[in-house]
Amino acid sequence: MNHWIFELRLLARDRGARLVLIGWIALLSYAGYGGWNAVQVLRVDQARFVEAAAHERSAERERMAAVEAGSAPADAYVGFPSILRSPVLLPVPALAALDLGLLDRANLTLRVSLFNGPQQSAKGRELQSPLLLSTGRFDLGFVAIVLLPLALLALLFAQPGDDRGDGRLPLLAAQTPLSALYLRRHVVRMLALLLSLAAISAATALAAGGVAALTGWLLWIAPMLGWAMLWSGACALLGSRTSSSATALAWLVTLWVALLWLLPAALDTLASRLAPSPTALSLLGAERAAAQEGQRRRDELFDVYVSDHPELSVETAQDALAWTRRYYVQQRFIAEAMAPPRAAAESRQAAHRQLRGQLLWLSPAQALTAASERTAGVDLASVSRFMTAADAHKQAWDDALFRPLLAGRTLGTAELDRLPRFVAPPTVAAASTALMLFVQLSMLALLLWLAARWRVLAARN
Amino acid sequence: MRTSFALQVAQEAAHTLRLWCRDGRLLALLVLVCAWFAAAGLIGVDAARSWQSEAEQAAELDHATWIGQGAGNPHSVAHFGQYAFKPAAPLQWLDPGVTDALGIGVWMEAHYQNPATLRPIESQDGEVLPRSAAALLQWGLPLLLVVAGASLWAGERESGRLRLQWVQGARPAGLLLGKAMMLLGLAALLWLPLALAAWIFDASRGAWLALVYGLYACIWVLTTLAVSMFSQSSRGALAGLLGLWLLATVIAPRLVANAADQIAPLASPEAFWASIRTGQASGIDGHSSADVRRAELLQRTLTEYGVKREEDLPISFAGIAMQAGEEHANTVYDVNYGQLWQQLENQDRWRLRLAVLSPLPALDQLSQWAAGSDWRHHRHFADAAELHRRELQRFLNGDLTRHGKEHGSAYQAGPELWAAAPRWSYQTPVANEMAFPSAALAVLTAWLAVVGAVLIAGLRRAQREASP
Repeated sequence: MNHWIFELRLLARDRGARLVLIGWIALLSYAGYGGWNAVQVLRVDQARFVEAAAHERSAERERMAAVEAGSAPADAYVGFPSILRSPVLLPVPALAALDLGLLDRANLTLRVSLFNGPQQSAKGRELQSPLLLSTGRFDLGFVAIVLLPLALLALLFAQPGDDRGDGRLPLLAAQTPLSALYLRRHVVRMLALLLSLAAISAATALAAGGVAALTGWLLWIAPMLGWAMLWSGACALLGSRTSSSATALAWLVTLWVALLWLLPAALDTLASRLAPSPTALSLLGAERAAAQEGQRRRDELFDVYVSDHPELSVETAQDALAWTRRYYVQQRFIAEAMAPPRAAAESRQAAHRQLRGQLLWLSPAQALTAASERTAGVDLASVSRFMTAADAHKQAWDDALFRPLLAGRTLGTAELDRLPRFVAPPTVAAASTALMLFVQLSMLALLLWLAARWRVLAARN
Repeated sequence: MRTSFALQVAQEAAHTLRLWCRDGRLLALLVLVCAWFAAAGLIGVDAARSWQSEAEQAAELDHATWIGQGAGNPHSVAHFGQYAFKPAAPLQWLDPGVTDALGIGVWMEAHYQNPATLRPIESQDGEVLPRSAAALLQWGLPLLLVVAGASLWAGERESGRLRLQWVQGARPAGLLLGKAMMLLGLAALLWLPLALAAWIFDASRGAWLALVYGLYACIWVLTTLAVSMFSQSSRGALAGLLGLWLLATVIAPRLVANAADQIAPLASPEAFWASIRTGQASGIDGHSSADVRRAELLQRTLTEYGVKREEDLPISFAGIAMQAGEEHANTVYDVNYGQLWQQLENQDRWRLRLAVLSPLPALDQLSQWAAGSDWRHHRHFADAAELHRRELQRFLNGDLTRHGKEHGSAYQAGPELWAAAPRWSYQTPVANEMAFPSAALAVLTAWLAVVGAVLIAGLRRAQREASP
């Protein structure tokens, strides 16, 4: 009988293995559904946001058209620059269905205006479920990184411990090289898990993003293959070097705890100690002080601004909307005052991320998490890119509107139509990271396989 | 007879200890878990202290900023507002609960009841798995018990020692009690430092924590022994117990939280604020002169002061309108935030219903309650901040009403008004002030009862095996 078919039959006859595979497929299916559902919910929210923003804009345009046509009386508020808001949106990436990453805590929909930048318009959006945020998503990323090693462990820990315990090992060693035998066994069992992961993750990516998402999916699944190979190598090494399958299991679980829990915690603690990142509170005091000073010196700041910008036509009359011109100048003052502390905080944050990024390569689980989130476009870098683009859009919006605001005039429909619109930055392909991780994990797995003592095992028995 | 039973228990305990001392894996795991628990505790204490000191410094700075305002219109100042900073929870170092997912500070400004902002979780890189001292106890303690206890009964049946014991007249209950005592002793290596440290930080909360983690340890001691008694081999017992451990501590908590969120989802921030805007639009907002309710309020005020025109009022109607707008908005916020808290309550209820998969969701609720790091404690803080915001708005609008008549919107109050404004202060409630999660305790107790019943069934089986 063909060796591979024999291994397949062996797997099919193993009651424990059947149970593990059924549980594995059930968990994968739930995670796939959960990821797809979360993406759908986010998309529905975004569609509502887009619809509300479009409604707001078209209503304002209608009012402006009515004033232009003379069918409505002139109104200082209609088409006034500070009232106009621009929707800013990070489209939910299709691969977020595989790994939701930071999407459920990031602000994906913002409204930029003359008075509000991306950060300010995120106010009041901290309403996601704290129970879910603190526990984490049950998505395919979690299943592949945390549970795949355990499922592999359950299928492989008894190889070759059980054969030795049953006294079959000498017979097997006499018939075939043990390394080839157990390699086949490992490959068959690994494939049983990986094929189901590949099928369900591909179906999830297809459902969330269509055929176009499949390239990204390939990059997502590649490091997972390396991760599975690494654990197969660990099972082979510990299985061949321990006296019984129970001992091998205990060591493998300890290894899982070390790689998934202890090492990430230790590296993160080290990164926080060596390069502490600024806390959420650190900028608030400076921002409040700047806001207060801006408010206190509002008139003075406005006068200085007017005298510093002779090229601008600035309306200084105390009409009902005069406060908006002063308020705009005040906001500029706050932004300028906050630039140095914000830059300092960003530099500390960047130093922390750089150090953490370097340490990640020591911790396969964290490197995988980072690669999975990056491929899915839901990591901190993707969210930061979005916020940078939103800041640039705010600048463009200000450039287009601050002159009419300072001149105290309203906009017409033609000007409204020419206003800049936000374009989300394209997702950056993370092919090199994913492939490099795959190669590194595979090489490590190969080393572990080579360190397994198949020959010694065969000779002893 | 009693002496011989006690002696048998002691002998069994000593035998178990000898077995463990010989097992290098167990000693390695014990050292690893204990060291990591101590490290997690120390890191937690450091983080909680930093949180507390930053919150205190920020509060001082914010108060100084508030007091240091020059002359200003009370309504502009109301928009500038104050910040309320949440102090560290009493036992946050042990169990940070959901504190990182909720904000540190509430901006208390005019017109808006803001949720707490500055969530630490927003700037955190993804954690693979939770790693607080409490999380370590929740998964590390059972893992230790499972590895130490899996072969205690099954292994001895395998080696034939049990049969020898029955022949010598040993009683299964004595053997079981001896092994259980040793497993409990092992659990106490982690539980005692926890209880002691928690008691030092906060006696009443510490006592509750010790109780719930004690119950949790008992559940795992009984589970370990029950599975070992029913297993044919120590390998089978270890595999089965590790499977249970994996299901109960790694898979179930996340599965349950996700399922609860799918069954009882929270309204999205977009929908939440849309509902508030709708509620506010239907009534007075303090800024809109066209509002019908504003006209009604003006009419009532004119009647109250016995005058015909707004100009004849001895006070500023703008101040009255502002306050009326605040009060209307308050009713809208009460409804919407009330629904939000109710939705969180529903999620908690679903988590408990799904706790048939694992005792951990129930333990989690109890542990966070005792540590003061659950969302109910956060709600206590947020409600206190909102009460303060309303008081502050009433104070500022009152001043505007009394003194804003003459200068209209150009009215400027001085620093003495800011100094006289109510000052924010907050004391974390003691454990007894917060509703006790009795349903979670009932679930945990039910788990203990069920596992205890399984163990008794195992003991009866062993007694049948032991009878000649």
